[in-house]
Amino acid sequence: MNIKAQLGRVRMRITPQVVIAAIFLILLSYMVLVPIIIMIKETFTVHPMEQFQIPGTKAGDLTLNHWWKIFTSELSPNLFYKPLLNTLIVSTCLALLSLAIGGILAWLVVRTDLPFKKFISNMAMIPYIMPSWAMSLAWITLFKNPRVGGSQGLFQFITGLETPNWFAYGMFPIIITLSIHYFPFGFTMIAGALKNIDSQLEESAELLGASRGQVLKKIVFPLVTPVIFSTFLLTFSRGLGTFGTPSFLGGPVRFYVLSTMLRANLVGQRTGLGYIIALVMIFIGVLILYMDYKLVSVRKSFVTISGKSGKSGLTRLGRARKPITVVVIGFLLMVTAVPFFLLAIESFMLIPGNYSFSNFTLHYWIGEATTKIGLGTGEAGVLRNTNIMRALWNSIRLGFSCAIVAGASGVLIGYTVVRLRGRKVAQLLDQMAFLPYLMPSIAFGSIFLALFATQRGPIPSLYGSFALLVLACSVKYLPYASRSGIAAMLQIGPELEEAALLQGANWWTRMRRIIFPLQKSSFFSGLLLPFISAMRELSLVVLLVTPGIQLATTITLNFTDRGWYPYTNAVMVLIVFAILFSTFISRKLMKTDLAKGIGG
Amino acid sequence: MSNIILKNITKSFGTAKAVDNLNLEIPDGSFTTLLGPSGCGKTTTLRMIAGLETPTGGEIWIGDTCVYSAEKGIFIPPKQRNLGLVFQSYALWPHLTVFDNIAFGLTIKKLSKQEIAARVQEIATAIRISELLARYPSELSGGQQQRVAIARVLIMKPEVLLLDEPLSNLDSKLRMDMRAELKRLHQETKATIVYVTHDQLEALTMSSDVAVMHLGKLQQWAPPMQIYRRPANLFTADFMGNPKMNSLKGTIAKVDNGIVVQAEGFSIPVATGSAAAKRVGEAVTIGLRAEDLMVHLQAKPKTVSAIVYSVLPAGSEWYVKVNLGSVQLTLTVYQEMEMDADDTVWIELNTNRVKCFDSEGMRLDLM
Repeated sequence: MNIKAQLGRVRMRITPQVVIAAIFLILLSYMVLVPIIIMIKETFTVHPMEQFQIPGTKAGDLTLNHWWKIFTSELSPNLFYKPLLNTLIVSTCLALLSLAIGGILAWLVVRTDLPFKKFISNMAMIPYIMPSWAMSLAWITLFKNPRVGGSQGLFQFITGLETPNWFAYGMFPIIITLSIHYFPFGFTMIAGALKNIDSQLEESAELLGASRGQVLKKIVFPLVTPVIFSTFLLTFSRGLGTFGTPSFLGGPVRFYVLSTMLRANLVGQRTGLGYIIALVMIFIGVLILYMDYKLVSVRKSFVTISGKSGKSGLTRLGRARKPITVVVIGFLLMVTAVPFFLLAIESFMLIPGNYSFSNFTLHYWIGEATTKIGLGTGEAGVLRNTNIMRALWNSIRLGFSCAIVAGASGVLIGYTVVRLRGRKVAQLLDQMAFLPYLMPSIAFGSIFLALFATQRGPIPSLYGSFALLVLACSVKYLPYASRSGIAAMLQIGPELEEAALLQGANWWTRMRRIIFPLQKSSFFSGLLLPFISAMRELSLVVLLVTPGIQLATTITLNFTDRGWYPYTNAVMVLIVFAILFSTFISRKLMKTDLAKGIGG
Repeated sequence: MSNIILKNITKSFGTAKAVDNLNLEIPDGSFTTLLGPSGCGKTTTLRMIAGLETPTGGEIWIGDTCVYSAEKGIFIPPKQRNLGLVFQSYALWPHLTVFDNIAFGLTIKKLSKQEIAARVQEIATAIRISELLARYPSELSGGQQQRVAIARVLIMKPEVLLLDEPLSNLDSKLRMDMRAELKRLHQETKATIVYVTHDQLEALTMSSDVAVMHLGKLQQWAPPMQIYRRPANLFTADFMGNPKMNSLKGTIAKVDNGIVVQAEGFSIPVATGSAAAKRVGEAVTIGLRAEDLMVHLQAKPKTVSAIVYSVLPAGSEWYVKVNLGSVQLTLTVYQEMEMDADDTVWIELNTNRVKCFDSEGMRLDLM
């Protein structure tokens, strides 16, 4: 074969799809793989701050000091092993608890004659769309004690009982509040799986003489087992990367998990140590996803295919129906309305800990900056505080920007992956776009810190810029967007595009006139999830914000550190309100169903 | 001129060969059907002609133009091949009205609005969908969608029209009507039509030539009735015709009054001057179409007795399944007969129509 023929063949294979795939692959490897290499290198390097601590070295030298310090020194238990153990315990308990709550709720909603199903399903999603640590703030408001929290909580005000430390702070409340945040995830996953079981499978078992209990045990349970495993592992890995809750509830009693230890090290300029912890977290995250993939490779067939199965017979709850309904709705109110109310109440109390009516104030909402009343913070009320308002505006901007960047990338990636199906490059892109999913959020934040802290070649230092936040959030949420992009593209047969191709439309015309219009609705409905995620994000951005560019979530951290809970809570009320409002709007305008997006 | 020539066309997906060294010359203005079971490579072949797939090797010519050559590195993109493809799913764009669907290709060519409107109107009238122009595809019935898909292609005045199982999504009644219309369309447009189907009846009723494919290889390429009457091999014989052809194991034997093929009690004389004399003793398979078997209620000379297995009335004809020794035969009967399961009947052959295949499954011209 001559050169011309070779060239002709090459040209035939380089389609716009391949070009897009290549561009995304390069970008993703730069933003995901390169940073890991940088982090590894940093762990072996002496940092300027350390050259006096490690005798006989100067900045930039190679050293094994960090690794020794983390794994084998007398500091190791506090620096690494205890936080690791705490993390594993918290994540395991959290995963089990939220699986139990979510699973029972899913079964009740999908498989029994429980009333108000729609209302219950909607209510059950609310804890998940709220910032994960809103619940921990509510917990503190209710249960804090004067010894650690500086003032009494509502519980003590009413009952006069002082809450013990283990109950108010540390592992126990962390597990409880995180479970409340994550059970909706298990709920949607398992409800989806239960819904997708073809009722004929159960009916044939019943016709063969199996009792309802036997059907549940022998047919339904084995069928949803992969999803249960999967939910457990995914919840576990999310628990691993979460930062806000352990920071709020663990901080006051020096209870550390890996994520809070990671931040403590990075803040304390011990980059090498911090990055080792981040690498360990990434390693565990990848391990979990690998296990998920290996153990339950059937998962996808259950979760992604929403087949239309016939309506199967619902289990009658009989006399237990009423009490169960009351318990379910009571529980859901406890985890949605009550925390919101608690957050709100704290922001109206002039002196924390005194919940009498005479202490009621609007000072923290609309008061002027003064050191004379209340906590004497010198900060203006939230609604007239320019710093807070700017931070809130930044959050909203961030939400929109990364929703659009992630959404648009998701459409393009979905297009490329589906069109190049069966080719290696498609598989690679699919996996690369999913990679950020397995990175614990805070570790992912540290990746971006590693990557953009200084100028590298032509790529400027973005540290302290808004663009960095947009970039980090967009990449982190890309897995959702690319999954939904792929799902949406699968709905559009290749022949729709081929028909246009045969009519003489070039690639751009086909995209503009066929693909984009058809993807429009799924694109818009796909914006909500990244938007909400960015609005409530803390773990990912906590390492990336600077005093110059704060977000609503990170600014609350400053208030909490100083014990200014009324401000924290007022801001939190605003965030929750913004999230609920945007969910509502998007539901009305675009008929989005959040529950569908979360399963990815 | 728009004949289509496929030279040694091969298409591999990994190690699997979807199309294996295919040679075909589709004459200008013909209605050629690519027929075969799913996975035989017929759609892949069609897509290679359209330019939606690139072959792994070989050459494709449309008219005087080489549109693909692995050897010379030629690949003419689909839009320059002046052909139209109607997809199995119709591939109507759901976000565009019928008018916009049909007009799409002309807007790509940047024709004036008036001209586009006029031409859409013209084709819509011809194909009887002018009252549907403002609707969206989802508001159309299957048959209407089919017409729109055809109109969208015809408006481009293609010299070659490719149809990929266009009738498979229609109900059987509509399918009947559309067959007639497509045949009519062929006569009116004079375009070269390449038609892909797995339905042997469609191939029989519509085509001027049929190319039967199996496992990526061309089995036979001939006018439809010739394939039906003189199938090149067992696969083709099996695939063409409904009910499926009966096959019996037999041997070529020399008897007193000449050479015969013996099978299950039948003794079929071979034609004088055939090659059978050299093949005495060889095992063969004989093929008997259902309508070439006659059933009698009484014993007659040259008949073999069989037991009725089941009787299946189908309106104008009856299908009768009988057990003959160890094999089961299907017969077509054209008048009502007093027959029930487990009755004994006598079977006669139309010996002129018997097909004979060697041990490799290739046809032997013996009768």
